[in-house]
Amino acid sequence: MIFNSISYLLFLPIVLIAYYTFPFKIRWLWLLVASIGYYLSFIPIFLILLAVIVCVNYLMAIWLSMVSDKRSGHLFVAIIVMNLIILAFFKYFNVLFPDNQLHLYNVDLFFRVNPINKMILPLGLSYIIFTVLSYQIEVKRKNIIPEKHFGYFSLYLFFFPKIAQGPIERPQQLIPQLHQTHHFNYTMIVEGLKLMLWGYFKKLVIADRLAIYVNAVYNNSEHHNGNTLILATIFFAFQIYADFSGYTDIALGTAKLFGFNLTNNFRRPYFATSIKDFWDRWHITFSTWLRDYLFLPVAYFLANKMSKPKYLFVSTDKWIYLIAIMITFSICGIWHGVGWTYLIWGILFGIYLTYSNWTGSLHKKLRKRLHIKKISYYYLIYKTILTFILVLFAWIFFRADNIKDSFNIIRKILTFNGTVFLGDTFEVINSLIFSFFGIGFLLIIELKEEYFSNTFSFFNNTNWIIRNLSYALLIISIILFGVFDGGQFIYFQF
Amino acid sequence: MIKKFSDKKQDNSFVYFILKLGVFFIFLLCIDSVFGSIIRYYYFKQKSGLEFATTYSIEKTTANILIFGSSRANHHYNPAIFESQLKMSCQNVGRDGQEIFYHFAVLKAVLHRYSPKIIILDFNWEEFIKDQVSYDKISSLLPYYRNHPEIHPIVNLKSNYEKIKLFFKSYPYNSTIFYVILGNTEYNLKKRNEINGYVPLNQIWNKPVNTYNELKKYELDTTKIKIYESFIKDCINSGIELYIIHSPYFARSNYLDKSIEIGQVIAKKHNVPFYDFTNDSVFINNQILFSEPAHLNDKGAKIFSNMIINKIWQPN
Repeated sequence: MIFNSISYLLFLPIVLIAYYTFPFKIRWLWLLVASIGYYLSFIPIFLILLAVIVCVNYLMAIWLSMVSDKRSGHLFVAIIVMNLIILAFFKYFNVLFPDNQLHLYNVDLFFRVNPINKMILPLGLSYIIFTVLSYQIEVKRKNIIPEKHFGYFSLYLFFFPKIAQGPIERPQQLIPQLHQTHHFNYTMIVEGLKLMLWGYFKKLVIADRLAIYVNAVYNNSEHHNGNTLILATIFFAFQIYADFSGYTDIALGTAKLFGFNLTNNFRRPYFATSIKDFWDRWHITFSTWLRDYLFLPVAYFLANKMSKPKYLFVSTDKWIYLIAIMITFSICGIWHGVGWTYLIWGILFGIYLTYSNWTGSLHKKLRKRLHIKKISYYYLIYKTILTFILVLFAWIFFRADNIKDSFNIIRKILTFNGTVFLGDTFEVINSLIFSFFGIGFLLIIELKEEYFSNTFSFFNNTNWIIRNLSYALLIISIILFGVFDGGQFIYFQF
Repeated sequence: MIKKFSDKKQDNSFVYFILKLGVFFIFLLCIDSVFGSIIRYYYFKQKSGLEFATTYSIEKTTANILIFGSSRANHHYNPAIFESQLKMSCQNVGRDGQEIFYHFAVLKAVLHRYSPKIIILDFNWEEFIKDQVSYDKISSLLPYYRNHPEIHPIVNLKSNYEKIKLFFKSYPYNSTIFYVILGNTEYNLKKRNEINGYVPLNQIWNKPVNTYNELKKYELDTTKIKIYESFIKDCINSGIELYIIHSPYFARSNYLDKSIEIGQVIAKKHNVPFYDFTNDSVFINNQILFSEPAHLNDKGAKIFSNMIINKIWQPN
């Protein structure tokens, strides 16, 4: 029951009406039941694994808060290692056992059973483990006291809008909301519905449409020329963004319907003016997770170990940054998937950020000498485009099937050769026209949000007709231009 | 007292929300109806293109001979040759990329109006492969759902929710707007040289023949097999002479495809001729008859059409 299925659109109102009908005291229970029901609609057997993770972490966190600081270190390490082993085992199961013939079953809303004859990563496992790690770290740091209510704790991990693909919620953000009483809030519900609608537009009209061309080109990259591959890579950049941010909008919108505010994962990332800025805008809950629980601890650890002010004529701060960022982004790459392509993707971002960190003062001097103002309009455009190109280059590794393909694609792209692939029939052109329409619409909306947020708005217009006509047309455009057979969200696999 | 006030406020905002949602939904349906009607008007006004071909097949053709199939039917059977030799009107109702679901829906719609004398069904390699894409392709029949109840069971195979989606008048025309625009211009007529549904190809294939030695294993779709059998039964029940033909590929196969094997068994069960042109010497040794391995060119189509006529023509 993925978000872009009719089953979900039938499931949601039923859960919502029942939620507001039940007394406040048992609403958490209903949400938990609904979340379990939602999870059961994928591969039911994995619910046992998740239940074990929830129970063990619930008890461990309480234990961790009770033991003395001296003993808590070992226990904390044991908890972290246990969770990571579970994640690694399932994530790399098919690498460890490539010929496995496990018989898993997917059960749909009509109780039809579809066999899956290979191990697949349990839905949302990466996100649940990262959420639970964040919880345990916060308990260890004594930033929070462990949640005593098992039901609330379970719901913190299981809450169905975020279980499959995040956002990776910090305990301080979500658990207090679980304790609050959520009245029917008209404004919040309308906001939630609008957000969901925009999410569906991004997923069905933009992401799944772009996927047609991207898949056609990238799945046969050896037969396509440089210009076609450039176009496909640009399309992929928007596909993955529309796909993941569309999912996030639907998740956030769904949560709002129940009175919960989840953390936004995206803030117009392709308007970033540097790679650091990009990561402040892209998959925010994951990047801040990596910053707070990996980068900073590694950096502090190194700062304590590296006592000299300089090593090899370079300041220690810069060395610390390099090591910490490379470790962080290597893990970020590995988290995304098995294979060298993901690792290179992560390392590339590590290199970009290190370069930026090491040459920051040099750039400043150069800018001064050339009399370029930091707030200059042209400089902003130059930096935005440069950042986009660097991100685009990294996406090649993320999307390509393997290292060999990645380098072949880069080699072809650098030749800038050939005419763009349009296919023999009008189908490809049709798909391209819809793709450009989708990207154009997305860019206009985001450009307005980024730079002209206080100007005229169709979607927030005070005039009822204009506002509702805008939303009605958005729905009609989903019906007319959406891809309804597009399938699941890209980040489901991570 | 405070609690009661809060509950009442909640009830009021709930009622307010439902009312506003209801008003918006009616507004949405009106807009949808306007868009749906405009696109529908232009959809059925098309003079060329794939959609026009489907409309013609479903609603207009009265030909005595109908040729069903995918693009291979479009490019392999020249109705002009059938008409001149058999002295019967002939229409090629094949459509690019379509499969048995589409063929059966068109047959149902045709039989609703009249019974042709002869039907040729072009059968593909891996015809019964289990593949979600086959079901997605049923969307090409959605514009006909409203006026053709006979095709409802086939459209409903697409998903369990088609009836819900079809509540919106614009939905049947999803992704078709640019085709509809082109179908209302001269674009297709200039680009696609089409005669009674036959689309001649002029290229000549110049690469050596591929040989397939290993039996390709794939999962069979029982629904497709059932629909295929229903196609045969409906033709028989309507007194139509049915011929099932696996037309040539420029490929040598050293095994019998599972779908062809099943197709032959079912055809035999109903005493329907099934002609298999796999490895046929006329074609396998003549790459100049092909445009590419899956499609004959115009020259190949002429030879092939004559061969089929010789097989089905039985002088009294």
